[in-house]
Amino acid sequence: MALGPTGRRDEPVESVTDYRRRLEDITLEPVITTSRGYWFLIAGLLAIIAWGIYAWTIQLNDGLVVTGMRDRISWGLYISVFVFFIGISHAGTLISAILRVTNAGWRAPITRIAEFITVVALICGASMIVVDMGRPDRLLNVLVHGRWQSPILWDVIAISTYLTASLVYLYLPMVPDLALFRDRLTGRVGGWRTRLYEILAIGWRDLPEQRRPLLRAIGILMILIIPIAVSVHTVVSWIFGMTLRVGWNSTIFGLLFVAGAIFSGIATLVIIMAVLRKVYHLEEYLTEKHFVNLGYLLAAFTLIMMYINASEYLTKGFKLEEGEEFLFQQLFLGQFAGLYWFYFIGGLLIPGMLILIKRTRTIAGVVTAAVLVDLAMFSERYFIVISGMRVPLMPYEPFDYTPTLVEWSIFAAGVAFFVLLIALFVKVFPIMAVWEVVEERERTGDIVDDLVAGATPGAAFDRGDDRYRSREPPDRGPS
Amino acid sequence: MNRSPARLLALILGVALLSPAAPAFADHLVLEADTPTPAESGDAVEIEVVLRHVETQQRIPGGTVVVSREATIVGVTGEVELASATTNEDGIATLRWRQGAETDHIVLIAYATSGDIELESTPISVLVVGPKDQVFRSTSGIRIPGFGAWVLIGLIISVWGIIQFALVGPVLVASRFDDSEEDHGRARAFDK
Repeated sequence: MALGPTGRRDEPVESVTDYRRRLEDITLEPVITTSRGYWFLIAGLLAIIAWGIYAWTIQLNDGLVVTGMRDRISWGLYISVFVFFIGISHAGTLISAILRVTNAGWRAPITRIAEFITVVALICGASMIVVDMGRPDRLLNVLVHGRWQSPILWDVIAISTYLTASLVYLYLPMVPDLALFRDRLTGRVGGWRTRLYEILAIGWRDLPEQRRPLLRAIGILMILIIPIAVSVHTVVSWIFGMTLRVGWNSTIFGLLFVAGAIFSGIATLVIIMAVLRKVYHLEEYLTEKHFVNLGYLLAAFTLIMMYINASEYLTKGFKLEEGEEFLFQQLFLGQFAGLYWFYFIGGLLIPGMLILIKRTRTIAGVVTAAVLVDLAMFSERYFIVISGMRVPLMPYEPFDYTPTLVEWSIFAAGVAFFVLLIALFVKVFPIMAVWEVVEERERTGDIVDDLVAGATPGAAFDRGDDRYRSREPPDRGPS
Repeated sequence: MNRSPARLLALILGVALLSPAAPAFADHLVLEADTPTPAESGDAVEIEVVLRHVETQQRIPGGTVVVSREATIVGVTGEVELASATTNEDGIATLRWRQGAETDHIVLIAYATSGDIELESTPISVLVVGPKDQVFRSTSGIRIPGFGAWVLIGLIISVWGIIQFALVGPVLVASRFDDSEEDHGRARAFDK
C-alpha cells in the first residue's frame, strides 16, 4: 500500500525524487549546521580524554603499580573494557551483514550507524590493550616476535582483519552517498571536506557499470564478514579459555562471548539510534518499528544468554571441582554477587520482560532495556575477568582487586573517545544510507516513480508544499 | 594456609615408624615390601612386594596386591588406588605408579585375602623429594598431518585477499569514469 510522507493513507503518494530530496536534506543537515551544543559536547569529551591521557602518563612514568593490578590479578578494568568494546563492535557489521543477507528491508536506515559503531568500538577496544601494557613501546613485538601458537597473536590477527573488513564494509556502501555529498556540499563546507568527498567518492556517477561491481563487492563482504566477526569474539574468548584458570577453562566460552557480543552490540546500537533520532530529528526514518524489531532480537538474546549461562554453570556445578566451589561462592554469594545478580536480573530478566510485555514494548521501553543490557554486559565482562583471576592457583590468600583512580580515568577517556569518534563521524559522513533507504521505500511501494506520482523532479518542493516546509524544523538542536 | 610443618611431621613419623620394611599380617599370609628410595615428583615409583605364607614362609603366586593412598576430594575422604599387580610364580608383585607433586605420601600396600573385596593392608612411606617439574608434560600438541601454522597463514592470506579484491574492484571500475566538471555542474544546478 502506497502511503504519504507521514504514513497516512489519505495523503498523496510521494514521488521518489521528492522523497530522496527530503532524505538528502535530513542527511546533509548535521554536516552543514553545527549548534553550540555540539561544540560543548566536543569540548567536554576532549576534556575527559585529556584527563585520561594525563592519567596514562602517570601510569607510564610510575608503572602499572599505580593501578590496582598485581601479580595475582594481572588483568583488571582495562581488559574488561577491551572485551566489552570488542563485544559492542558486533553491533554493526555483524548485525548489518546478517540483516543484509536475510534481506531484511527495515535495516536500511540503521546499517550505516551500526557499521560505524563497529569501527569505532574496535579502535577503542584495541586502544585498551595498549593502555594495559606496562611497556607499550614493545607493542610491535607481538608481530616481530609473535608465535603462531599463541592466542594473543591470533587475537591481533583476528581483530585487525575484522577492523579492515569493517572499514571496507563501511566504505563501499557509503560511496554513492559520498558522491551525493561531493555533489551537494561543494562550496558549502570547508575545502578539506570537499576534497575528502571527491577522493572518497572515486568518481561515482551512479552508472550501471559502477553499480554492478559495487553491489557484487558488498555481496561478497556481507558473507565474508559474518564468519570473521564470529571468529573475532571466539578468539577473544580463547585468550581466557586456553588457560587452565578456574572460571575460564571452558569449551563454550566462545559461544558465550559471541552471544554476549551480539547482545551488547544490539543494545549499543539501540542507544545510539535513539540519541541520533532525537538530536537530528530522524523520527521518520528511525521509527518505532526499528526499535521494536531490534528489541525482539534483544529479547531473543536474553533467553540465549540465560541458556548459555545455565549450561556453563550447571556443568561446572554438577562436578564442582575444588576451585569451582570457590568461584561460585564469590560469584553468587560473595564479592561479585552484586554484579552477578545485577547482570542476571537487571540485564537479562528485566530487559526481556520490558520487551515481551506489550505495554512496555515502546521506543522508551526498548531503550531502557538496551541501557540495562549494556550496563549488565559490562558487569559480566568485569566479573568474568576478575573473578577468574581471583581464584588462587597456589595455596595463597585470594587477592582483592579494586580499580584505582588512574584506571577509572583512562576508562572514562576510552568511553569519551568512543563518543567523540561517533560525534565526528556524524559531522563528516552521511549517517544514513540514502540510496538504500530510497530503494527500500521504492521496493515496498511507499514511494512511487515520479511520473506515477504526477510530479516532476522536485515538484513538491517547487510547489512549496507545506508538508515539506514543516519538515524543516527551525532549530535542529545540537548537530 | 601453610601446611608444610604438618606435612613434614607426617613424613618424619611415617618414615620413622614404618621403615625399613613393613610386613602386612593376615591370618596366614604376610606381605613384605621395602621402603622405596626417595623419588622426584613426576617420576615413576616402583615397589617389589613379596607375598609369603606366615608359617611355612612359602611364597604365594597369583595373589593380587594393591597400592592406594588416602585422599580427600571436595571434602570426601577415601582410598584412591594407585596401582595393582599380581604376584608371579616367585610370589613377587611389582607395583608401579607415577608419583604426584606432594612431598610426603603414606601409601597402603594390600592384598586380597579372598576374592577382590576384603583387603588386608599396611602403610608404607614413599618419600618424594620435591617437584622436579610439572607432573605431566605433553609434547607440542596433537600433530595432525597438514594442519599447522601454514594453514592458518594460508587462511589469513585468503581472507585478506578477498577483502582487498572486494575493495579494489569497485574502486577501479568507478575511477574509470572520470568525475567531469559537467557532472558537477549538473549536480550543482540541480541543487539550486
